[in-house]
Amino acid sequence: MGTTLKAMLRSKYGSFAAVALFCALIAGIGVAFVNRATTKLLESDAEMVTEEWANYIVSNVPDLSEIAQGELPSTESVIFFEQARQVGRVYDFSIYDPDGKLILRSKELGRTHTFDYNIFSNRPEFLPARKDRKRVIFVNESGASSGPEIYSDALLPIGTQGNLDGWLEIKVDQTARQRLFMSSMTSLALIIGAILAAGPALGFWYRTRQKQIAERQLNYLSHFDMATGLLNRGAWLERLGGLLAGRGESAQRAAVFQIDLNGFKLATDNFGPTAGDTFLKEMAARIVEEPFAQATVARVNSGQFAAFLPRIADTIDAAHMARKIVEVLSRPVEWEDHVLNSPVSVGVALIPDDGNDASRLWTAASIALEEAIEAGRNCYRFFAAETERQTQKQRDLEQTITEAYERNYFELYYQPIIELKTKKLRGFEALIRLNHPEKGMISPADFIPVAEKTGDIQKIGAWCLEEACHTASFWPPDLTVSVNLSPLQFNSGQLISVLRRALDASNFPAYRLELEVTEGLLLGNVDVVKEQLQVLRDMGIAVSLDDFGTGYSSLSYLWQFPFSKIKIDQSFIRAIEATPSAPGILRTIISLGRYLSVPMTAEGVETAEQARFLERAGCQLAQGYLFSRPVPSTEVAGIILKDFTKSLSKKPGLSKRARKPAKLPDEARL
Amino acid sequence: MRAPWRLIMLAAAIAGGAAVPLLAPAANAQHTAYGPEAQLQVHAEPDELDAGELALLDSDLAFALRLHMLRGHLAAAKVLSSQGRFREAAAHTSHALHVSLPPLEPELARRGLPSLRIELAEVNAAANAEHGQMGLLAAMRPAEMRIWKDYDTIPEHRRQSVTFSLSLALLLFKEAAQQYEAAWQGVHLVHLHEFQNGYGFLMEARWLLARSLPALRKREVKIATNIEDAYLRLREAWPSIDPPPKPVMPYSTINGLVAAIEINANRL
Repeated sequence: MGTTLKAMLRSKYGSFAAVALFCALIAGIGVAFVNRATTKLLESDAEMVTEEWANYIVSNVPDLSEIAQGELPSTESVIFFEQARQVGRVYDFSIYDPDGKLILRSKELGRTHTFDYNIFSNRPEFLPARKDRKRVIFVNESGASSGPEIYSDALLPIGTQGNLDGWLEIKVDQTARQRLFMSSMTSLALIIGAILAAGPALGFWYRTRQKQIAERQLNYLSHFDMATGLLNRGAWLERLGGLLAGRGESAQRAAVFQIDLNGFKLATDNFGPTAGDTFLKEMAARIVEEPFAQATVARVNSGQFAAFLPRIADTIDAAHMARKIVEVLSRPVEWEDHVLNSPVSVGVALIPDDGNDASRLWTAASIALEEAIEAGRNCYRFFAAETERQTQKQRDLEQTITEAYERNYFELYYQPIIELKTKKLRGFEALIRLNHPEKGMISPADFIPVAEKTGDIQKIGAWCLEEACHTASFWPPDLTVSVNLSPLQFNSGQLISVLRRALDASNFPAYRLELEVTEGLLLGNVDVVKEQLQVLRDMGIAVSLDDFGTGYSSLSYLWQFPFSKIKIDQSFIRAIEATPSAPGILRTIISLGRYLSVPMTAEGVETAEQARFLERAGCQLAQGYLFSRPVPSTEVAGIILKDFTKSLSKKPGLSKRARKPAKLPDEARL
Repeated sequence: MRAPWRLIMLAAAIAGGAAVPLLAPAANAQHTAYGPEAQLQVHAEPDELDAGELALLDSDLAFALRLHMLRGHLAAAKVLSSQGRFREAAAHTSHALHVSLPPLEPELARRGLPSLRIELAEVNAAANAEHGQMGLLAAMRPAEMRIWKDYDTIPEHRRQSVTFSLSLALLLFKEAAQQYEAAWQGVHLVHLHEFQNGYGFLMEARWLLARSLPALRKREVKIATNIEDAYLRLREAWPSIDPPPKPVMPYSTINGLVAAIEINANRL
């Protein structure tokens, strides 16, 4: 029951019902109070009036006792009675003898004024037995159709020197008094009731008001950005939808702008949130004031704004607006003693050219913005369908990568690395492939950059390491496996733990593992990279510099970083036969490696001529289609076996017949 | 013998009950000169007496009362015409013809008497024609004779009864008191016609007292003296057909004097 009551009180109308109940209670008490107080006041008034009137009569009617005894009243007394009755509120009075028999009664009942003089009446009226000589005063409601509604009736003993000579009954019209008292008491009760009810009513009002304020604030928060006072993304999109629906099929051009201010993050990171907020507010004010006075503007992300301009003339007009945005927002913002600057990027989608619905336009403007950001500082870009296609392709690829990882569509292919001088197999480079059951083979050149962008490269790289180590653990112990590393893996801070896990899981010796890194890695923090490379070397893992000769090819890398191998980019190899200067350059690179005592590996060797040249130039190792294309792990065993057989045939003292293949470790497993 | 008086009281009480003034006016206590604004007015009353009141009266008493009231109007007209105030006199003759007569006619018919309309119409015509007092008196004579003739339809023993005469006088006093109350509003005369009506009724009551008081004095000296004293004091309120500059006494005193007459009459 109590719980139900509490639940009711907490319900939407519970408080209102409670207040109404309280007010009804107050009203009930008020009515009772008014009635009681009015009755009391009337009784008090009746007593006062009656007493005054009685005293007046007693002191001015000398023959009152005689009249009560049955004597004829004097004319003067009768006149006095009538005068006293008419000037006061007494509308009727009676005189009884000591035994209660009616002697005289006045009647003031309209046109005819009479006195009853009943002393000789055959049917005398008797006063109800009242022998106690006590005065009686009461207020009564008249049931009769004539006479006052409310009257007081007083019965007073008449007597001298302790004798009871008779009774004087006085009836006072209290109707007007009752109304006066009732209205006074009602007013008083209302005031008291109002005061009593004011507390809960005020409380109810206050709670309701607070709730309204909270709802309003919540509504504001759900639609507006607190920092700038602009619409938030959800509200802006909703409004954009409404505005676009209102446009219908109008041919009038409009535009959606997305603006990115990288300066917000910089300001927050460097000077704290206050600086960031100041920067944002200033930017919001500029956007609203200058370029977009007629636009619907919102803050859609931490440092991003969006605007819908309902009316533009053409693309030139939109471009002018975009330039204006860049110009206005790229002006520095002063904050305390600092100057905050921000590169401004603007993406523009046109209506109806690029779409007619909010979602489509949002996407288009986002794509254009991304392109603008990639283009560099203070740029704007219009949405282009090709960009969208590229973006869509990339998104598809992102999904494919995720799917491939989850469903194990990735495969490692292995390309043999051959020692040029002996033509002996020295190891394999593990090359990742994405073999999608529906989309077919997807090139690493396509999906690796995407994985690097999405961060999936970390888990893919870890998988590669584990898989390569696991596969290579079944190879002869003199064969190495090379695995390409992304600079992102290197910088993640987790590479060492990933390597340890991969090596431990397959019980693969670290000295047989080679990691290939590109020059991109070396562009970062030199000291950190050197330190990490040293850690790898300490673990026994070899690190190769991949694709040497392209990019910066800074020679300082060669003595700054402790590389175990240098891999010459295949573009140099392909140029051996086509470019006259290439052989010379190649010889120089190879000589450099020789002087540094770092073995060189030539990539992409496809012809015997190239192999012969490289061998003569002193290049130790090579890989390419001349020796073998990258093969699935299932074909690796064949290559190893073939190499083993070849090496046996070259050994002196062994006839071809005697050249049985030696038992390879774990051959059966391969 | 006393029962009719109680009936009168009861009838009067019932008749006036609906209009009880709950708080009696106190203005009569002051007396100042009445203003010249007091105008002669004839109130278009449907009946001077309350039907309910009369219904409870003895039929002879009610009949006699109406005849006396008719005579009261004519008496006022007679006094006024003697002063050459025919226009004012005509107001009273007109009142007698148009207000007092219609409710009387059914009773006349019930008693097999012809209407007084012709006689009263001639009186009214004479008053309006302003033929002089003699002309009006001449016109009044047949009417007065008819009234007395009609009065004679009341049984002789009743007409000669002291109580009957006192009852009629008391009723006329009460009517006069009513007219007095209507005439004055505070210290101002507001209805001259009502004041003059009261004067006429008082003359008729005096005629009735003159018939009954000598016989009463033989039986109840004190009562007769009391009634006579009360009447004499009551008459001071109407010193002449013309109102005094201010009321001689308040309405409550008029009422008290009437009540004194009633109390004494009731003693019989």
